Amino acid sequence: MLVLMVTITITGLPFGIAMIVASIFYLFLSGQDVSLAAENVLNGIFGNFVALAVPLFIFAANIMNAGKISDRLLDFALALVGRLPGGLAQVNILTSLIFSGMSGSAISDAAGVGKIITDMMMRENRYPRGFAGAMTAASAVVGPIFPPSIPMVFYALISSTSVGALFLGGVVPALLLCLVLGIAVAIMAKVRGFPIEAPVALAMLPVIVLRALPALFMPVILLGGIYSGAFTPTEAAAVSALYAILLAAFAYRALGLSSFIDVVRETVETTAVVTIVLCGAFIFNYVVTIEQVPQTVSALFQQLQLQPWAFLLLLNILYLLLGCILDVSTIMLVVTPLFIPTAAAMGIDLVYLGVVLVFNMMIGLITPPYGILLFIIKALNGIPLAELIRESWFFLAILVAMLTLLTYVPALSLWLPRAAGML
Amino acid sequence: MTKGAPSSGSAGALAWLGTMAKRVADWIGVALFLSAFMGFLVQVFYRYVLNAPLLWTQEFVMISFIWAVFWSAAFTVPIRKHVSFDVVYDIVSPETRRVFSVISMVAVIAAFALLVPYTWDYLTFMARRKSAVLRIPMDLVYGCYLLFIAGFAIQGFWRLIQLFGPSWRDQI
Amino acid sequence: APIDLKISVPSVPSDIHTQALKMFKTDLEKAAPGQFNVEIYDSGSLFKQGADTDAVERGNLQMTYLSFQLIADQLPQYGLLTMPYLFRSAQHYDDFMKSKLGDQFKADVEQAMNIRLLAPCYLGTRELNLRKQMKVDTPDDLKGVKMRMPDSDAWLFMGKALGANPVPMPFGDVYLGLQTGTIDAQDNPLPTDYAAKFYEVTKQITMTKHLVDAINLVIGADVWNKLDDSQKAAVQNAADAACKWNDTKRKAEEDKLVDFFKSKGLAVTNPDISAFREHVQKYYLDSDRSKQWTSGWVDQINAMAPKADASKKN
Ligand code: NA
Ligand code: NA
Repeated sequence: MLVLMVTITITGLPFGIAMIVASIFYLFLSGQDVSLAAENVLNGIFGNFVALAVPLFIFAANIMNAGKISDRLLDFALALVGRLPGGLAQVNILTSLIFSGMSGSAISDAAGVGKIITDMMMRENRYPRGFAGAMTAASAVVGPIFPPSIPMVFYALISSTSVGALFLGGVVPALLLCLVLGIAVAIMAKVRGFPIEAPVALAMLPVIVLRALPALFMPVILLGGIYSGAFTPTEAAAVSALYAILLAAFAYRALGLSSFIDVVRETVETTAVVTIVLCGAFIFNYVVTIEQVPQTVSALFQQLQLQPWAFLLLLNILYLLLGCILDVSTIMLVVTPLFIPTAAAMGIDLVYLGVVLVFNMMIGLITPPYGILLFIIKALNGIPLAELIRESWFFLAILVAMLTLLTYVPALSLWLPRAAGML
Repeated sequence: MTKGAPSSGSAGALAWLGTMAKRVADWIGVALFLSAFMGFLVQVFYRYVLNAPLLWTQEFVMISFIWAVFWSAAFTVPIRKHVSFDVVYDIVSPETRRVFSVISMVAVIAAFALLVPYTWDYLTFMARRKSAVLRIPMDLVYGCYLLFIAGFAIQGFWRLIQLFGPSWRDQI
Repeated sequence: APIDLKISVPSVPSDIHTQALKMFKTDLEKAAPGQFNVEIYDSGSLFKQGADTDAVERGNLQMTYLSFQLIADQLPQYGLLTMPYLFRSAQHYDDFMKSKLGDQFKADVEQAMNIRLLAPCYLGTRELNLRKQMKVDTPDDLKGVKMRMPDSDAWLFMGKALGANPVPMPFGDVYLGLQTGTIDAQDNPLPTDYAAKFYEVTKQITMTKHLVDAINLVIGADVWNKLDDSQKAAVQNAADAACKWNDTKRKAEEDKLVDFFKSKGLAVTNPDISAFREHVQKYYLDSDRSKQWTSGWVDQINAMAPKADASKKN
């Protein structure tokens, strides 16, 4: 089964489809009811209301990028932190943080506001292009750590933890990450002599703030709405998409009907692609369960008599390695369920584990050879992969250090959800 | 019917038909997604603004959603656009890629062809069930999956034919 | 070769139901050594809630728990069994299942769903759990109260029958919903309120006792019919013992929890139960759904109520 799965995946068959195909062959050859490959997929997807948050967050992010909302944020960030050492790099970090309060995906950050700021950094050779791209990749990581977050929604699905608690758990780590990146960039700017941006005229400031204000208001509505009871996290995704539409269409007048339809079409395609992976995971998990794989994994760890700290260390290393070759949704949906029972048995808090694992998987987005953020930045900004990778090591080191900190200081992820009374 | 063939009247018409079919498929996908989205907004509005929660919205949203997903996966997303493991695929020669693609397409077609009768059996079984709120027979709700399997297999079959044709390089 | 009995349930390992299954496994393996291979999958890890029933019907799973609500969904004539205030206690369920009516019910379910009902396990009595303290004496007091219900037609109807404003919501969203006020109330047995920590985000429990709930331990009819008589007896006895153990344990837990909730600062109030019973049952009997019910059964089941329990009411 696994051999078959690996073989057909290497031949380039999409993951979701490969999981379904391999499961069909497995069910057939082991004399089980092949219709389970329909039953599990359908019941799995139809019963998962939360899964809907994912396409809606994608939808919202696509609208923001199409509707020039990203541009306004950029002007705002430039006025705010352009004067710091490594000005545009700081802007890059700040826009990622703001954008992350509205979008749940690192890819939409890199492809939207990230592309614009990378171009700005590369203009007139102000920054080495590899550095500009690597900066964008590293800061895009914050997108799914700060709420909302698509991977956290997936994690909540498979671990039965609360989406609200997970979202809150990501807030402190995300802010901390931005702070650390900011300081690192400031130091690097001094060493490498990166430029500082010209001050924005004081008279312009109110205009810039005013123009960005409706966009800045979005995270407030989103998180305020969730935590004040106006809507559930899933509904929040729909509301944020609506807000983005209204903003783009009426406040900024940058979204016509035909471009709106294009955004929807693109969103539907992405949705189908992402959801098919989820569907594949449902039937694949059935096969894995009936073959008692999670029990075997659990027994293996129990046999090793690992302490939680050692278990977490191994898990982190494994995930970093997997992140080099696999897609986030695959790791999340296929690999993570194997470890959740073991972690729970060790008394590891599953919300904290979720934050750690999501952070880990986001690092996987920029680790070669399969680092999807690198691919996107290469495609959008035309920066050679080799240059991107060379400049990425510095940021990777920071991210891994942050991951270690998160792993061994659970309070960083748990303090806020606890303070909010959610755990 | 291949690209290299001189465009006769019937080939032109066929191409036109193909484009139109793709456009219609796109529109259906867009409509399904938007109806799920609208359902959500109606749900929030009625509960939060009017304090009169609607009972049917959640189910309506879910049905639109799974139809949008399976419909698009079958008819609007090209196979190459799905998330796949490209690390090996990207570094091998075009000829090897062609072989790879043929293998994977054959696997898909065989598996999905096998699944069709079983899915049919399951849907027949589910015909007795009705959805919880709207009371729609579940075979209709779940029918989109059969559509997906058949549609995707046909897409795979079409790609397979092309892989053996002169324009196979467009397909890898 | 031993007969495979795969059991899939949505409940978590700490749940008394899940533990009852372990008892079932031990008992059965003791009574019929080497004849059965029982595998328990909890937390819906093999089949999700609802899908487990389909799986038993289709022969992909051998055992699970089956609710009366799901049975009524397929056999509308038995909707009456889900009417609030019908069953008074776990014993009442037992007496019904062992009566002539119970035999007919079991035969009909086996016929229509290819599932054999083994024994009813007491789930608990559903009580109201409110976000804020308020006076709840009669159904009128619940007017406009947004009460969470599981997302199905039958449950939502029950919410209306209680006089509330039902909101369909998945169980996983209820805690946050209560905390933030998306909903004003929810109803569940006390052990569920405890396990899901709803007491952290609510201020009152009103002992409406509206639904004495039970689920059936079931086995696929195909497997059942292949067993010889001694095997059948072994399975049946193990099921009875498991449910009996579950019932006692549940009841004790419920009694203990009232004090626990009080200690957490919740008001535990007693409404006018006869007002609720009258309103709710009238609402059901006046509705279209009761037209499909087998006539006379409500009265006959009422008559089976254990005397001690019946007199304790009101
Ligand atoms: Na950025
Ligand atoms: Na985010």
